[in-house]
Amino acid sequence: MAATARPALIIPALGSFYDWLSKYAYSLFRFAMGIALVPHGLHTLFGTFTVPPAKSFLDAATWLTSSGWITYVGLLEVVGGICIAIGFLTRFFAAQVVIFILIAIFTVHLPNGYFWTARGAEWPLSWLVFFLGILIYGGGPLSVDRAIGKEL
Amino acid sequence: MATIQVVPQRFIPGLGALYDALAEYWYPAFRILFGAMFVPHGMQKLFGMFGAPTLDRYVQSFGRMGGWANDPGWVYYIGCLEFFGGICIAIGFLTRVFAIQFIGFMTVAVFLGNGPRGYWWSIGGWETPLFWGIAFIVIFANGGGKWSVDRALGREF
Repeated sequence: MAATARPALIIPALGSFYDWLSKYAYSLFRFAMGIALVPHGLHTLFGTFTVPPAKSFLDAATWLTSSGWITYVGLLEVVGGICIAIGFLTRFFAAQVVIFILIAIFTVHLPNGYFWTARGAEWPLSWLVFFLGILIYGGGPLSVDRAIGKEL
Repeated sequence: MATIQVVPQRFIPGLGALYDALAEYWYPAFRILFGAMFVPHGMQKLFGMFGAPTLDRYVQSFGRMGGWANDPGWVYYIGCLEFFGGICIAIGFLTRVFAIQFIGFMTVAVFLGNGPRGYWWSIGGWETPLFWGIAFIVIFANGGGKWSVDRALGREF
């Protein structure tokens, strides 16, 4: 989206603010969404926090609980979450998170319906869209990937 | 999004073209889906659809934030914001006008609405409005963008 394609602003003075904000909004978005995974991963790995027992990820299906998937997802949330937050190997982890969320939507949340207040699909669906964006955009400004100058 | 297409070198150079092709479409897809997501919540509050609580229950629930919120006007405002604002963000009409109201709505929800319930989204905590609020900052920063009424009109806030 080139800046020249932008419609005329009704309050032109805001243009430079939007330019500044849109440059850093993605970095904030990537940082926040990465950090958001970490407490879930800590819970998955260590049971650090209390979550109501019903419909936790662990109940999803027996094939998930009887294997290393819990550890994998927990590590993905903690390590991948931190890496996405700092923008290191961003796409490598974002791709895995997208797949994990897709599985969560179909196995856990869709049966609860739509509304997030009933632990429905709405919440993970929004995360699917967020992480697809991170998968497409990669590290972006203020990321380790950008500092290294090479990324997936 | 405007400024993030200066890409580093790629480990798999062929993927660069794919990312560039998708980058153009992610933002409008995100704006459409994210705006549409709020419409059913507005339909609950305005029309009592989808097994919604009664208006009295909503007012009571809003009232837990303080005496100021104990008023059906706030339920109608949030319902209208979710329904009409959700539709407008989806079609990209007055995108920033509605996005900034959603940012305010989510901020109040973090501190007053959902905050007292704890953190986790699964218990209705403040995780949900916090991260949705950050997503609205992206929409506020970028405005209508591709596939939007704002762009078709050639003018936006």
